[in-house]
This record gives sequence, C-alpha cells and structure tokens, in this order.
Amino acid sequence: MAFRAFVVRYERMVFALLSRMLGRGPEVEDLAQETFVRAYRAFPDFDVNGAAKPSTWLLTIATRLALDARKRKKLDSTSLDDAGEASSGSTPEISLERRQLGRAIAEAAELLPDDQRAALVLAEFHGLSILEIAEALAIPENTAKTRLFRAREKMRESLKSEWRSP
Amino acid sequence: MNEDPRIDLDAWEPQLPPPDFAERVLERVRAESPKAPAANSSTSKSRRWGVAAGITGFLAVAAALALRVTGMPDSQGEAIAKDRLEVSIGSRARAVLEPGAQVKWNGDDVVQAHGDVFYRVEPGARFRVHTPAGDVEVKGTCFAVKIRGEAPSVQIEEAGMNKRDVKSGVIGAALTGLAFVAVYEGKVAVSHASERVDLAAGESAQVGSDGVRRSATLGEGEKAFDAKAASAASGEGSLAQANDNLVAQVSEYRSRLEAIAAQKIELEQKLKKSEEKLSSADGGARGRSDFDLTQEDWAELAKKGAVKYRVPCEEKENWTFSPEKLNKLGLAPQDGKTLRDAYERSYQRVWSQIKPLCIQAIGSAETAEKIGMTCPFIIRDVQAAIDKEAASEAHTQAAEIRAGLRPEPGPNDKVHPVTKMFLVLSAANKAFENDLAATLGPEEAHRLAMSDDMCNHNSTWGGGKKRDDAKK
Repeated sequence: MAFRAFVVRYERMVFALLSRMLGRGPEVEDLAQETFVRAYRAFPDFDVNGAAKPSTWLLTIATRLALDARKRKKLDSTSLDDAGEASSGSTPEISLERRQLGRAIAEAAELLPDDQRAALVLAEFHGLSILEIAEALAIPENTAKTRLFRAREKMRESLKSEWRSP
Repeated sequence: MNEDPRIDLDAWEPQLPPPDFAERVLERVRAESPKAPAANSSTSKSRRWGVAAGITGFLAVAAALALRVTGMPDSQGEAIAKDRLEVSIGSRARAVLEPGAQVKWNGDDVVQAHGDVFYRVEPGARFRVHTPAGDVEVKGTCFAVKIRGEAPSVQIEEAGMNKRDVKSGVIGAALTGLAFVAVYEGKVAVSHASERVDLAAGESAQVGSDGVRRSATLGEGEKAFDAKAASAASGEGSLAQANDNLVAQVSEYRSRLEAIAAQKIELEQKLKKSEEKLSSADGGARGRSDFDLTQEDWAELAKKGAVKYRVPCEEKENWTFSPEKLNKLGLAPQDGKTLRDAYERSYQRVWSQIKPLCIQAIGSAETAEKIGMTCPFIIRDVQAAIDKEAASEAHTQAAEIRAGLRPEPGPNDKVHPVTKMFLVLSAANKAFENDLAATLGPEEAHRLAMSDDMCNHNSTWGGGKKRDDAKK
C-alpha cells in the first residue's frame, strides 16, 4: 500500500520527464515502470537524510534511463510529442494555438543534443538547480551550467517566431 | 528578438500516466524474481540501515520497499542468505536477510543464528525472534536484528585449542555474542535472562553478556554496536588488543555513567514537575497514556509545531479480537462484538472525513480508496508543495485548536486541509472512546481507548510552524 502511494505521488512527474525526453509513446510507460522498479530495488540505498529529495532522486533515475534509451536508438522524429490535449475549458482557438506552440517547443527541443535537452527539461519543467542537474547527469557543475545555457540559447533561436513580450 | 522574451513552455504538455499505472508497477514488482537489488554492494551497511531508520514518515514506504516478494509463506522453514533474500515467515511476517544471515522458524518463533535481518510483522499474536544474545518479542512492527560474534568456533580451532577448549570457547563466545535490535514501527520487547526492555519506534538496543542496553537513537545505537562488534572481531587472541578493548570499555562505561547521570538529572526534574502537577491536581488520574492529551499537552505540542494522536485500527477490516486477546484486555468473549462494531464505526467516521481531503490532494476517488489511510502523508505533502508556509501554519493551528488557544472551526468555516486533517485524526480516539462508553461505561471505555494492547495507530508529526515563547 505504501509503495503504491509513492508511485501515485510521483507518477505524473516521471511521465512528464520521460515524455519530454523521448516523445510520447508506449516507451514512456515502459521506462516509467522501469524507473519505479529501480527505485523500489534501490530504495534501501537512498539516503533519506541526505540532500537529495525523493523527487530529485527519481528524476535522476528516469533521466539516466531516458538518455540510455536515446543512445540505444536514435528516435524517429515523427514519434515526437504532439503536444497533447489542451486543458479543458479552453476555447478551440486557444487549444489549437497551444497545440501548435507545444509542437514547436517539442520540435525545437528535439534538435538539442541529448545532454542539453536533459538539462533543459530538468531545469525548466522540474525546477532542479544547477547542482542537482550536475548530479543527475553525473557531470561537473560548470558543465551543467554551460549545457543549460546552450540549450536555452538554441531554444530561443529555434523558437524566435514564438517569443513574445511578457 | 525581445530583450526579455517569454514563452509558455507549459504548452509542451507531457504524456499522462494511465489510471492504473501504479497497479501495473506493483504487478511488475511482484513478478520480479528475487534477483539482487541494484547497486547496493558499494554502499555501506550503516547507510542502508540508516535509510530504513529515516523512513518513519514517508514511511512505511521504506519498509515496504526493502521487501521483495517471493513465494508462498511456510509455517516452518529455514533460510540462509548468500545474496540479499526475502522470505515469508508464517502468514504475517516477512524478513529481508542480508548476505550471511540465517534464520529458522516454526510458526511465530524464529531463531536467528547469524547476520543482519530486517523484519516486518503484521499485527497479531506474539512473534518472537530468538538470538544467541537474547530474545525479541513483538506484536506487529518493523524492526531489524543484527548479530555478531555468533560463529567463533572456526577461529578458536585455528588458534590450536584442544577439543575441550573448543567447547568451552563456543559456549563462552555464545555468551559474548552481540545482537542489535532497531525498531522502525510499533513496539518490541527485548529480553536477556530475566531482563526485559521495551523499545518503541525510533529506538534501538544492544543485547550482550552485559544485558540489554538501550541506545539514544537508531544511528547512535548502530554505530556503538558496529564499533563493539568490530573491536570484538579483531581483538581475539591479542593481549594488546584486549587491553585496548578494556580501555575502550572503560571509556564506554564512563560515557554511559555520564549519560546515566545526565538522564538521572533529567528524570529528577521530570519527577519534580510531575509531583508538582500531582499536588496541584485534585486527585487526577495517574499513569496517563502518552495519547491521553490535556490542553496543556497540546499547548506544548503547538509550541514545537507538533501534532500527536492515536487513531483506532486504520485497517478497513479485521477488527475481530481472539478470546485470548479479549481475556488479556480484561473483557468477556461477548464484548468482542462491541469492540468490532466500534472499530468499524470509527473507521467509517475517520475515512469519510479524510477521503474528501485525499481526493482533493490526488484528484482521484478511485486512487484515494486504494491508498486509504496512508493518504494523510500525501495530503500533508501535497499541501506543502502548494504552499509550504501555509501548510506549516495550518499544521500548528490544529494543535492550537486542540489546546483551546483558537476556537474550534464551525461547519461553514473555511479551514486549511492540513488543519482539517489533523483535527479529524486527533479527534478519532475520543470519538471511539465515546462510542465504547455507550456500552461499556465511561471508565472502561477510557481504559480501553488508552490501552496499548488495543488496535491503534499512533502518530507524532513535526514540521509545523514553531511558536516562540515571546510571541505567546
């Protein structure tokens, strides 16, 4: 029962990371399952008194699985995210606009090298600090900083037409 | 390009998990063959044990996570772990054996001869673990036992002793065998010869030839145990080492004496306070349960940002007590139905109020039903994720309401979910007591509601906003 609660608590977060790293599809669920199974096995080694939060720890497992999966096979760009359904209550126009924007972001992210994409997703969607990203990707802090900076630059360049004033 | 460009990245919507994703994960976990857990060989044991100790809140999760599922339980059996191994013991216990550990069981009696074993025991009759150094007895809990110095015969033979010496060496070694018991949930009684020490969650003890020694915390206890076991293991046959050990022992005894002296002062102060309270109270009842809280107790908890409560049986069913259990509680067999009905009503009463908060937190009635009374942890977590400060404040406000420092909210008042949750949980045992009182009378109902032998779930939560004295 307790482990089920743990899965329920974090399943959306893990799906979010994996689908943004790999694009939508059955592989996301496979790797999400693998993430929790690994967490289950490795939990006795998780230092609950340490600095890492359970969420960061899970994201680290998921990120590494996603990077391995991308290494194993270069994903077909057509399998990429279709930006999903718009949230309920939006008008059809807004929905279409959001879908288009979502697709544009997904396509721009797909152009990033895997490690930059991972840094971007962890920072922008999961709020990880540079230090946490560095630990998740097993790279020095400065490298993480550089990757994130480059990822943001490339995204800005790719999405020029989508940028708007705040 | 704009100087300060913004884009709504959230438009890149993620894939959502299917509604039964958690079930699928659990199925997969259950289907996993008992292969070695990933990447734990390089991690120190103390860290792994420390992990389990830290899990009290989030909680039982670690205990559950530490377990891997194997075959059907046997009422009798024996297991020797080459790698980490989980076994079911009887119908209500599971044990995780670290490499080298050995257990043998017959029903609820387990003999642990070697190594480190983590146990999770579902509530029920007595469950005993016999070790070379002493016995551990539980009702339903999570705990771990580590044994050292239990197999010295090989070392003795290598030292060239004759057969008689070997025999006496083994006996001697058995007497000096060390066991360490750590309790993560519930209560455990550790006994050695005629000595018996009760341990609660978060406590540990070392059992050896010098009796049962309670440790201040799980971490400290384990550290002292590992040091002593390592010292004992490396010190055989060396006079110098023996002297070192003696010096260490003297130092340890000195530390213990100092700790005892400090404890004595603390106890004397507590005794003094208790006597003062006793003299000021006009004949009030003595020996109150830890969960029989007065408004004064609640005010103290509120200062620390803590909430403490007892909830009767959180399980959805299995409220039936055996005739032996009823007898132990001083009840007649026909009282069993009274208890069962009161437990059932208590569960319905509590869950009907917690469930809406749970659904609000996780967004699914179906999942809420599955999670059941584990949900308070999630409710607290989710609210903290939304607004940590507000959740922390709401936490303490619940204690202040119980302390009478704030008015009890009315049915139409807007109340923070965390406050609401703690008010429900902290009222549960009193409602149960009132229910029993209708049949058994108020005194008997109070005695039962406060009895540790009843089916209860006790919780103490920290993490609320602390109030400093000046503010009050």
